[in-house]
Amino acid sequence: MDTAAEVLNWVAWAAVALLALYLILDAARVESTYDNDLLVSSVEGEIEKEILIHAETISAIEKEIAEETPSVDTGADKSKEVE
Amino acid sequence: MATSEAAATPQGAPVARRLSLLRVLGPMHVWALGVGIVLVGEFMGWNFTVAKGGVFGALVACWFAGILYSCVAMIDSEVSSTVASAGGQYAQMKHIVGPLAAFVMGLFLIFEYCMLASADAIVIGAIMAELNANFQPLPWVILSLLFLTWLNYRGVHLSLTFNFVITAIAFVTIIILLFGGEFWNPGKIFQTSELFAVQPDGVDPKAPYGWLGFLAALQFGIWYYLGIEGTCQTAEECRSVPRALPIGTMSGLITLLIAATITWFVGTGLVDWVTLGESAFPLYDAALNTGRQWLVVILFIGTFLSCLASANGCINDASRAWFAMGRDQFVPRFFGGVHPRYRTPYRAILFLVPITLGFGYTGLLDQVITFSIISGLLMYAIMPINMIRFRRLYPMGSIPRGYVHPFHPAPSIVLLLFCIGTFIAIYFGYWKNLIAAMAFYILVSVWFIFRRYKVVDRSKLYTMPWPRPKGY
Repeated sequence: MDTAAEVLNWVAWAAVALLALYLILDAARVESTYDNDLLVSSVEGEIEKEILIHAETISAIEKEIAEETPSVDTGADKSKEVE
Repeated sequence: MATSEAAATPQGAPVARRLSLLRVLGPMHVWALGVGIVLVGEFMGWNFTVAKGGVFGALVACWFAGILYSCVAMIDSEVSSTVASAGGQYAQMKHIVGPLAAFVMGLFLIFEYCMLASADAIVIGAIMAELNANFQPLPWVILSLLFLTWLNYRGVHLSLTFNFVITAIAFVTIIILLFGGEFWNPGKIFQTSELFAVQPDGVDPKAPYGWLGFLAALQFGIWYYLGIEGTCQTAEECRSVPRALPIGTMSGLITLLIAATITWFVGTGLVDWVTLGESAFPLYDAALNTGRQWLVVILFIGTFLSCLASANGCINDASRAWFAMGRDQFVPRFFGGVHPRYRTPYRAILFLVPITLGFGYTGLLDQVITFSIISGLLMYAIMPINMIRFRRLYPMGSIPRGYVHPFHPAPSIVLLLFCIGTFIAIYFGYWKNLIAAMAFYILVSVWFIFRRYKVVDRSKLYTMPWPRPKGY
């Protein structure tokens, strides 16, 4: 039996135990410290407009819409405020 | 229970209203993710194309799959450059096709990547046992998975920077093998002419089974590139999605096309077609045939690192898909949690560890890989529908795009046709697996429609600032 290999097998098991312990303890700390509503509060991201193809077109359309549409409170706007 | 704002500031620090994934990735990380997942396919797996179709069959499969994945990369680059959301193809489906398609796509992604990560870990265990027969595979399988889980838990920048380094080293080892074999000096180490010549028994290694062999080789041809579509999963974490995703994905695909062609050339030029078709580690065997010990050591390192990089990328991608599904309540909302310090989807990452380990523990490498491949192919088969619908709902100029792919709808049609061809090839070899996988996905779809979708808060499904689609 190769003793060095045996020892390394045990070292691997020890490293497994340490990593598992770290992950479990850190997750437990986060769960107990922070509110769940905050932890699950992420939403889908946004795209930076300035470096996109057709960015000028989009900006022009948006500007046009803004000029044409009177400022009214929509349901969507309200829900954003509540958020 | 404390309120969210108070809880977010245990030491009275400034209030944070929302947690989000960190936007820290650039094209380099996207490249590392895509190529990292795939490159293991150059070190093992692709060579089964040689057993099915001979050396020319393997080359045809390499290029055929190259066209298929070029279509995948172009479609993904265009759609993903507009959808800055974790989950990649899942998020695309949700916005363009609908919730059921998104749910199924999410499952395709999770099973593809979880099972691929398991397969990588099994191979890492086998490599350790190869190194020394007294090494037990199990602790090394678990250690590799837990180490990579820890990296992913600690931050996406850390894990993908690590992936960049090991992927680059693994890629360079293939180049070293090419030069180490002195490719410019045919007949010295490379024996291409001799290995391609018709054998005394009349068998032609170039195409031993004719055109039918070429078709059969297709099922393994996707090994050269399987997983490049995973780059989309980083969409929510890129500093600039419209720049990083197309550049990272396209440069990744170019890298893989080069790597695949070199791999075929080196493998078939150094190992006879029968041995190559059965080899577990074809490039390692090719290095052995050069008779140069330093090349053997380098290829051993390359094989090991490619497995590690692939498993790392798979953990990253599977967790993002599960996280995105959790955020939309397609699975419990709990899994949409973000770590407040490392800004990673830590609950999704941890949840998938026992599942990945479970697949790995079975030791059924061929079954695990086949299910992973079938899941990937099913995903590719839906992508053309997604792309065609995307261009209809959001014609050019109606929505900002970071990349516009050329010749639409040709890539979508080509992708669909190539997928059908590959499905036929898989049906001949693994029809039971294919039918079992289809049955599984149909059953979970029924569950989603009649049970899960009823509890989904549909008002929170679409938060992307997109314009109203054409015709709605």
